Order: sequence, then C-alpha cells, then structure tokens
Amino acid sequence: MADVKKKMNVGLLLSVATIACLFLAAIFAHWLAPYDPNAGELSERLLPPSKEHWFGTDHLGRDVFSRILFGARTTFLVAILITVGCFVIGTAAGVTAGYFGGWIDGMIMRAVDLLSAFPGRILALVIVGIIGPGLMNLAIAMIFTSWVGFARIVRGVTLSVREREFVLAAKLYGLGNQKIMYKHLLPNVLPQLLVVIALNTSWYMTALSGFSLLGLGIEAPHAEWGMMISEARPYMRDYGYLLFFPSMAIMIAVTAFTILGEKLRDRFDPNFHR
Amino acid sequence: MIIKRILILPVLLLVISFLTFLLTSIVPGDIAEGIILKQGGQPTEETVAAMNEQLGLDRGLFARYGQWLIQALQLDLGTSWVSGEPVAKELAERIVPTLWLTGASLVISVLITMFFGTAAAYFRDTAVDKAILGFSLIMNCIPEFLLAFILLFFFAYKWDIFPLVGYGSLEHLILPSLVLGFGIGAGKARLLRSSILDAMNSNYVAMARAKGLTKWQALKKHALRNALIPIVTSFGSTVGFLLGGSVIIENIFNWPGLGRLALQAINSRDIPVLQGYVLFATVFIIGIYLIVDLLYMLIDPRVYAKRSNIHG
Repeated sequence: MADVKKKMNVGLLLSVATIACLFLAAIFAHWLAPYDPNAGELSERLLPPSKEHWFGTDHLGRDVFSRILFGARTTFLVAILITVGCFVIGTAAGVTAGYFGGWIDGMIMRAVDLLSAFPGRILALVIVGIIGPGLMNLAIAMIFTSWVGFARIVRGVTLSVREREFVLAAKLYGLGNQKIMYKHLLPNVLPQLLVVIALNTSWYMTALSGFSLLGLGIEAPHAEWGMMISEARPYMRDYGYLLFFPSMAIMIAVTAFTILGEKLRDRFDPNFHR
Repeated sequence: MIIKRILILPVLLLVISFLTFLLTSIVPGDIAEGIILKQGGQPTEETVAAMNEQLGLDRGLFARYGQWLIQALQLDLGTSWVSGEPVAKELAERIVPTLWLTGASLVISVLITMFFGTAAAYFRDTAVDKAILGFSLIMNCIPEFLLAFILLFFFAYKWDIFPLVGYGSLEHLILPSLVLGFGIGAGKARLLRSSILDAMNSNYVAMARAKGLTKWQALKKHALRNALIPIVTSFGSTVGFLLGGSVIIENIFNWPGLGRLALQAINSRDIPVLQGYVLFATVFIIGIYLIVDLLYMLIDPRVYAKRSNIHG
C-alpha cells in the first residue's frame, strides 16, 4: 500500500513540476527566447537544430525554440481565459440551482441538459465558424460549450452539503444566502472542481491547437503550437524536426494536465477507483 | 430517461438552429458584401441591397427563422449561398464518405476497446495491465491531428505504404480510420477495464466463481455483460460526434465528408449550409440515442423492466 501511495505522489509531482515549468516559460518567454518569435531571416530558413537554433528554424527562418516558448504563452492564456469563464458561469449556475432548488434548479438544469446532449466539439466549431476566428472568439465558444460540466458538479455538491449542520447553523445564525453560498458551500466544491479544471485544460489545449490547425484559432504570425504543426506540414518529409518539437510541446502539456487531473481525482474522489 | 432524452433533442435542435440565426445577425462584417466580393463583383449600395434581398437578409430575424423552419420540416434546407446548389443535395453527397469513416473507425475502436479492456482487467496489476494502461494514457493524450501527422509521416512519406490523402479506395480509408479508431478505443479501453473490475467485485461474480467457473469464464459470462453498459453509452455519444464528421481528420486527409463541408461553409460564411449541417448532426444524434437505448435492452433486460416500473 505504501508503495502505491509513493508512486501516486511521483506522478502528481512530475505533472505539477512540468506544468510549473511550462507556465514559467510562458510568463518569461520574453527573456527566455533567444530570438524574436515572429521575425524571420530568410537566409536562415529550414536550418536543422544547432547550437544557434536549438530546435532549428522554420520555412520563414524563424527560431522554432522561441516560437514554442511564445506558443506556451498563447496556450496558457487561452486555457486560463476559458477556465475562468467556465468557473464563473458554471459555479454561479450550479450553486444557484443546488441551493435554491425548485423551478430555478429546473430551468438551469434543463439548459445544462440541452447543452450537454450535443457534442461540444461540433457546437464550438459552429460558434467559432459564425462569430469568426480569433483567440477571444474561440474562448467564447469553448466557454459556451463547457461551463455545463462545472455547473453539474457544483450543483451536486451544493445539494449534498445544503442540509448539513454547518450550513443550517449559518442559516440560524442569520447569514444571508449569498454569504452562505460563498463562505460555506464553495470550499466544499473546490477539490472536485480542481479535477475538472485539470482534465478540461488538457482538452482546451487540444482544441486550441485543432482550431488553429483548421485556420479558426489564432491568426498568423502569432506563435501557437497547433499552427506551427500546420505550417510544418508541407515540409514534414524532409524537415521532420519542424513537426517534432511543437508536437512534443503539445503532448507534454496535455499529458501533464491529464495526469494531474487523474491523480487529483484519485485523491479527492474516494468513490472513483481505477 | 429514454423519453426525456428523445424529447430534449428537438428542443435542442430549435435552440441551436435559432442560435445560429441569432449569431449571423450580430456577426461583424456584411454577409452580402462578402459574397459579392467572393463572386468577383463590386459591392455598391445597389448590389448589396439586391444581394440582401436575394438572400432574404432584408427581412427580420424571426421572419427568416420561421421560414427556414417551415421549409426544413418539408426537407427543403434552402440553397447554398456559394454554390447555388440545394443544401440538402450537398449534405447528401457528403454523408457517404462520413459514413464510411465512421463505420471503419467504429469497428477499429470497438476491437481495441474489447481486446485491451478485457486483457487489462483480466491481468490486473501485472505488467500486461500496466503496459495497456500506459499505452492508452499516451493515446489519450495525443491530439488526433498529431497522431494523423505521425502516421502520415511514417506510413505515407517514409515507407510509402498508404496513399497520402484523398478518397476513393479502401487504402485511403485505412489511415484516417486508424487515427480515429485508436484515439477513441484507447480511452474506452480504460473505461471498460475499470468497469469490468467493478463488476468482478460484485456478489454475482463471487457466486459464479464459487460455483466453480474459472476467472475467465466468470469475466466473460457475467462481468463483461454488465461492464459493457456504460461503454455502450459512451460509444453512443462518440458515434454521434463521428457522424457530425470529424472536422480535423477529414481536413487533414482531404476526406470529402460532412466535417469538411462544415469547414468550407464556415470559411465562405455559407450560413444555409451551416444551418443544414447543424440540423443533420442533431438528427443523427437523436437517432444514435435511440439505438443506444435499444441496445441497452438487448444487453440488460433489467433496464427495460426498471424503466417501465418507474414510469408506471
């Protein structure tokens, strides 16, 4: 048993460390990047990895390593935007539904049912398609399709703690509804939300890259991992490294968030066993 | 449950199609102007007004939506703003490739799920189990476009075994359906494994083992059947998604399916086609939910009995 626990911590630690590194890279991309990510030197195009250009240069002579660092910034920015949006909307809807119950609950949960019956990817695509590409629009589309997961969990937890003694005590003490919700219900919801946030983040990152690949995400020349892959495609036969480095960046980020989410789930959700 | 889900989808259809209409009326940029430019004309005040009238954009939102709805109920989805063809015809042409891709990836993913899921559960906590779990975690974390590029790089560029992209023969089908099938199957194998392990802990499996059945017999005859129920549900939503056309994979492989049509419609702001696409996808999803519920009854007769009890 002790052995199992130790292993779990290793996975957790590794994923947290990876995410921390990527996050720092994203924040300090300006200082860490050896070159301007968007300035190409055509005389230095398609250079293989070397001392000067660690990950080589792309078809416009831009430094791939610098672009990957700045790509991390884009990825984290979008993931944080979506997470904050989903958190605010989902928590507000979930707590309101669970705490008040009755017709309010009914209305909110019908909306949640409606949205989750439809595949999120198709819905996000259609929304982005209509309101147009771009970072902000993509975030809006993703928030629209994924707040429901947050709302469902928050509502469930709220329902289960609503009748517990400390909430009743707070009520007797004369605390207003809003205070009770934020002081007593929210702390109980947070651990489970962390699991969803971690697991969802890996899907936001995949989706962002996918949309960029389709030309519906971030606009050129900004660096984004999915777009780097898409740009590398015509050159992939002879310049495999152009495909390799951004691919690794995506895989590492997505895997770290997936493992983090699963480890947190093992920890916080005793009913879930693998 | 079954009735609730079937009832909710037409409502969903109304909401989403209305939403599409609503969004088109607030999008930045003039749709008529864009289309005129695309057709090579000069957008002047008169031509824009004429185009607006031709597209019906001069009328109010509700009037447009009402007309679209009435026509859609008569299977008339309007005409494409770009090609001028009936939307229903364009969709019908694209459905066959998407069906092929869906079918093939479904077969592959079911095989992978069943094989890896049962093997991991049977060899629980051994090296086999760990290898399968590790493999499926990695497959789960590779975005599908990445897997597509990796397979293309090796099988099409380096070794030249399969054609690069395109549509038309069985060979063209193999790479895209492998990408989708592996991606889906790996995730579901993990689900099936934990579902079987849950079932193996139950009383009826203990009873079967006490009766003298081997572990494999108990797993196959008793645990697996119950373990499959959540898997069938999850496959249901996957098929719904696949039938909408996997946009990314269809685009990477130049597969002329629904997903590619949707992207083309998006890029050219072809709203009637996009509307028709949403309608199509939703109808598919309703159909899949129905089939999943019927499958439930086949796998687990109790579900039907329970449900008829609840609903009187």
